[in-house]
Amino acid sequence: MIRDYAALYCKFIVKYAKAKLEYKIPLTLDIIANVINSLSFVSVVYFLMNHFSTLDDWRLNEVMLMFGFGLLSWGLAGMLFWAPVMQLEQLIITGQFDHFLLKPLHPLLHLMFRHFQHTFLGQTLVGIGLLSYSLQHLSAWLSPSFILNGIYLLFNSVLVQSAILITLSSLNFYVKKPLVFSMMVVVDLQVISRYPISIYHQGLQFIVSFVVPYIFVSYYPVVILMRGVSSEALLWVTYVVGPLLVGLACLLFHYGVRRYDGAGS
Amino acid sequence: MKSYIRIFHKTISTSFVYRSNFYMPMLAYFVFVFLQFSLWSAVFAVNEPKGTTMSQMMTYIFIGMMIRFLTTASASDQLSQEIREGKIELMLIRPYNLFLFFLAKQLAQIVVDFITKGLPLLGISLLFLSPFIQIPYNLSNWLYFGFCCMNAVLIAFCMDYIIGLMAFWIIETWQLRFLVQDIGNVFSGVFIPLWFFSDTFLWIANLLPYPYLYFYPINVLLGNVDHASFLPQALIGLSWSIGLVGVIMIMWHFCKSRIVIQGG
Repeated sequence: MIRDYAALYCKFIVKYAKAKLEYKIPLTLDIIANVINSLSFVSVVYFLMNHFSTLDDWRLNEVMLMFGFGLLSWGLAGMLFWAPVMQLEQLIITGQFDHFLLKPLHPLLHLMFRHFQHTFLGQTLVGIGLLSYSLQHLSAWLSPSFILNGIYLLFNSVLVQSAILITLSSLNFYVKKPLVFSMMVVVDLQVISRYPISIYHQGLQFIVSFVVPYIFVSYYPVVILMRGVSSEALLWVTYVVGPLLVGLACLLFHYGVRRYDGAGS
Repeated sequence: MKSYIRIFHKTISTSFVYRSNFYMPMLAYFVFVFLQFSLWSAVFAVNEPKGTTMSQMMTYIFIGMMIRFLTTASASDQLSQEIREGKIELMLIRPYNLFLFFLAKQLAQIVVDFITKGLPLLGISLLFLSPFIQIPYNLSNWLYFGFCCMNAVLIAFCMDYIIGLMAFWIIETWQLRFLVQDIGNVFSGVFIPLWFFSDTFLWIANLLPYPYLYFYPINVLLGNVDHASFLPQALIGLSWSIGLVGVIMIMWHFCKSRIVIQGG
């Protein structure tokens, strides 16, 4: 079954790439614009750390590692699940979502397959760049356990980001016009959560841990990699939180689709 | 002149028809400001800052959020859409200057933003932050600040208008708009004041028009600029806006030769 889906996804991607490659200048501009956008956020850390040298015990390359985790997982998850967040509201308002219900493919998979968000290549590239920059300045990184741990934690971060995006898109089935709210979460909270969370006020710490769990995306993975899993209580939760949240988000979406009874004509 | 005042007036009244559109952007704006406050207070709480005090930083953010919408121009969006869809023809046969038409709309948008976002935020932030905010009172500083703001509106509008006109060549302009905005967020001091820049970046920033949009006006009001440098700075700022208007006039000359209107 997974093989069928993979084949189907390849077909969708090839079609999408053909359409996009027709217009080369906008495509290049898309990616450049996103690279610059990510770099503009990175520049803030760079200037800050140049001035202050440490941020609550974290040095420049460790904070860059957090940013790398945040950006890379955001890029990878966004390529798959950004389109549902952005498009579902309009699809429901215009009634086009009904088409998705008639297809022999789950609506979430269909939304994900049909629109590969190429703009997130920019974030992904900057994320990879940041990771390699900060790993060059770390001494501990060559041990195999560190690498395996890092790869799993990155995968876990992608899952958490995906779960948040799926949840935001399934909000469309429960409330009206949630897009502005989603943008607020994704744009503002996400950026703030790439910094060491420990510097913030407790209320904000609570929000990024329990309401929108961005803390598992970049802060905790780097704490585990740099300080070890036993440095804080309950840190091991990070390892299981990704698959768990994706499961819950998919269930939420699934029940949302069941609730949906049409809005357009 | 009369017709532009009309356009100004109409833009304001149409914005107030859809009142429900206000609440969410207002909330989003508030969240942005709140997060900036929490980031900066966190940074200043754990580190001993060199040269900059907490109250100066908070005042910077406070004045910044009050003048931010002076420089968020949005004409290019509509302009490039009109060009893409060919509706620009209708605008060209009407008896107004396209540049002044969009400028009037922009000024109206600033007024709307000030009423719907600025005033509520002013209230909220004064409630929580008044102990931090210290704006030194000095009449000449305030007068110069007023001049800087007007100049900033013009520079921001011109930059945005140029992007809109680019639609004659590249059809889609939103990527370009985001690009200019993102670079602007860094070099105009929205994300981080230019105090923290290294020398190289400060040198680059001074070559660009961006600091005149945001950083210089605020810095004047904070009292960080001595009176002797008012005049040279004002002249550079003014020459940016005059230069950009010149660029627009030259571009428009070429645009006119690119317009092809089919049918009749």
